[in-house]
Amino acid sequence: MILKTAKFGEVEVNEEFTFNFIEPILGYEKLSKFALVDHMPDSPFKWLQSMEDESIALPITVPSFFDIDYEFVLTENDAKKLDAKGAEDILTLNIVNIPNGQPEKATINLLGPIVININNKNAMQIVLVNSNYSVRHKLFNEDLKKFDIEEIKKEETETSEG
Amino acid sequence: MLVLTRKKGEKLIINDNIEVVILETRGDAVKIGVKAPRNVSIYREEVYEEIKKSNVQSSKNVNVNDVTSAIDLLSAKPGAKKSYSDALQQMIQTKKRKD
Repeated sequence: MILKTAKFGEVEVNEEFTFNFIEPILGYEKLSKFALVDHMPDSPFKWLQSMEDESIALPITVPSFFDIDYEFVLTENDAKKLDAKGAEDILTLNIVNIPNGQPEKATINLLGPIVININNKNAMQIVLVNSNYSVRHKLFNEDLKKFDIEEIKKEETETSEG
Repeated sequence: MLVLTRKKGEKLIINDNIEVVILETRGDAVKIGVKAPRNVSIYREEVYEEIKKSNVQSSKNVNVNDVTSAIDLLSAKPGAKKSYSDALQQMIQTKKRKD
């Protein structure tokens, strides 16, 4: 199906990757339908694009792509709400925050993961209890300084010029 | 909203199975103990607010080009994969296949 979005124009959405939030993404209580939209080929990021408000799209990723050890126990209550029978039903995604113009300061929300029952597409954002995980865990180390970005930008310019 | 006054050591019982006890008061801080069944979730309000704020910022502040730059940063890290292409899709599909 074709979905109209503010950030990407019209995108083709695979209905298999559309989710029904039975409990909201906090702050977006009125939105329940989201689709997983590609960022670009090979990307570790995807987008959770609202199907009800074209302006809302949140970048998401998986902690293991960034070598972050991550695990939590889904409470029985939440598993019941999602109608999940076991861990094999559950896909977890984490929302990423990238301050404008400062990708090196990107953070990932490990305390409030999105959990999805991939069989029935029910989804919810949960808040982990008694957890030391952070809402804003850094994706990149401090040692990755501006230098690296400038280098990359330079390379990109050179490539595009060449 | 029900408003009531309790003294140190006094309790509230909610719904037969949740017990709230005032453990200590010091200045404007109150130490509270909660005994509840495992399936009852108890959160500090500010955790919710923090996540809400973070979610809204995530969509509002994000610039598609910055996400692309973040990918470049990741690929500059030692041990980074060349492609994450559809690692996610694969995760989804592997899980589905077990069905």
